[in-house]
Amino acid sequence: MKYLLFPLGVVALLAALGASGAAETVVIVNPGNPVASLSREQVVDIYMGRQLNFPNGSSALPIDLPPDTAQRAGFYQRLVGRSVAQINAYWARLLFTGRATPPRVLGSVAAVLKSVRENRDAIAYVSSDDLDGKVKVAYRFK
Amino acid sequence: MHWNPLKFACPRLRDLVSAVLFCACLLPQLSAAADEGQILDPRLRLSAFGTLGVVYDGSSKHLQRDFGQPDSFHGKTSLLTDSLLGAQFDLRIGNGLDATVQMVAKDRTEQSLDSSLEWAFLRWRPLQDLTLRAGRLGLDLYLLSDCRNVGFAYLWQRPVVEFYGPLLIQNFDGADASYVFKIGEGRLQTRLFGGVTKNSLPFMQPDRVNVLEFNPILGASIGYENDQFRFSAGYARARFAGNLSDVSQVLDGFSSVPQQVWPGSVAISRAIANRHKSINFYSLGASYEGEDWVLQAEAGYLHSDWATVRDIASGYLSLGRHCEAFTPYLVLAAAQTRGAAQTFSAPPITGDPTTDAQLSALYLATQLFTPGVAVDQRTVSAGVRWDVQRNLALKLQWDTSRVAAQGGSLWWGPASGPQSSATTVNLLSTSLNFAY
Repeated sequence: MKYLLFPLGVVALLAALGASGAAETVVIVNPGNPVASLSREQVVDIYMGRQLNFPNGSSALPIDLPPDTAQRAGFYQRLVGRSVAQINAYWARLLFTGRATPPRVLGSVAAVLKSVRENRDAIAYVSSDDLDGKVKVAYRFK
Repeated sequence: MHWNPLKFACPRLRDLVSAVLFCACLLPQLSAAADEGQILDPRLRLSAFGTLGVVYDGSSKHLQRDFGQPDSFHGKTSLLTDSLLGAQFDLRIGNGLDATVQMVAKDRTEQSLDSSLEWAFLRWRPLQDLTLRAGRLGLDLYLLSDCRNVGFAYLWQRPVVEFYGPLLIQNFDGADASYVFKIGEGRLQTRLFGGVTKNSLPFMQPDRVNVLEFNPILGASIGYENDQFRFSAGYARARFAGNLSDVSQVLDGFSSVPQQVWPGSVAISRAIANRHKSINFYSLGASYEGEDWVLQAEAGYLHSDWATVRDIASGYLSLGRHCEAFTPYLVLAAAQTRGAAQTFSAPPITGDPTTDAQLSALYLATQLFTPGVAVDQRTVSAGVRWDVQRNLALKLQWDTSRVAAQGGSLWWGPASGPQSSATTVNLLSTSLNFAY
């Protein structure tokens, strides 16, 4: 019997790991934002300062998580394939040539969710595990 | 006699310290206002950048990072050549309108609030792809455009001196319009600009400070950018608003010389006068940044209608490789003076000792304008940038420059300047650069 329990335990453990592995990074906007969904290019344009508006023309206010979080590193790696250091040097050039200002940094996922709930222009990224039903998912990494 | 602790031996150093203190006093107040948590009201962002650098110069020549930068060397080292502190405020007003102000404290010929104000402009986006700006703007002609004060934003110890050194204009008061076209994965940006500028620069010698005023400056640039590549091309034309004070003095002397006494004097006065003559800037640039390699090259040509500033062809090639937090790099750069230097023929001998003495004094004064401002040098640089933290970079760079005879206008020091002989200069520099 205990020979059966061990493989069952392994399966259960794998299932649990699988479930947590299923949490993905999603890009969120305010539920009142008329934008139904965004393409990867549109998210890149907004987060890299190339586009300051949503496709419908309303201004976009991108929000970042703190620089040392794994979620931020993972988001940019998946989005544009660059490290946080490379993104910083990129932004230093854009910011100090007066072209665009980097996304606002908020200290926690809770603060990010609150901002997106309260600001119609806001756009942010969180783990799908953190979704609270009060924000709208605009893009999922495939 | 009272001892005054605020009395510095060097007035420029005192002014610089005041400018730095001014910026430093602003920082805490504004960073409180620019609380990152408040993204709606006020939508103000404070950013700061700075470089603390030291240069060791093995020769008796002293580097000017930009044309006319004061000689700040004490013995063989200088702390002021590469050091600076900057603060920038970005305010999002709404309805496509925002404002940016950037202050930079660094060693300058003349320290004032006006000269420290690098930019101050209002930006309006009436359409998604159209941007209009008005106020004090950076001259956006080159790849490094106006982030050449921000050490953290580029790879090297300082912007390549052969290319960025001879450019007389960093910013101007005026307006620009830019329109962006999306092409495939990239963006093509076209820009037109115009304005005026005025600043004080030493002319030929450190103590010959002249006011340099250009009106108008007109130009256009075009640039393409995608995730890895950037290409840019630009043109600008800047017209001298008036004669430099050194020029006016000599011209006053010539105005009292009757043409029959010195027939060549009219031609000489015309050649020396800079009023309403123009300097033209042409540039081409390309850069690539991949996961491992960083490549950048630029070529430029400076054509001056005023023969005292001689035409300069310049360019550089830079190659770097990302190895984790370290990026070793190599730069090859050259600047060459084009065309012959202007020469003035000596006055005739009248036989009247008083007149001859006056004419020869006047002739001697014209020698300030020949062979003129000339940059003729080649540099090989090797260095490494270490990204210590996400917003802090340490750099170490070695340069060896071969400066041609009469091509040393980017150097101060004994036996330097335009009349210099050929020489080799070795520099060792290091700097700490931050941006937040």
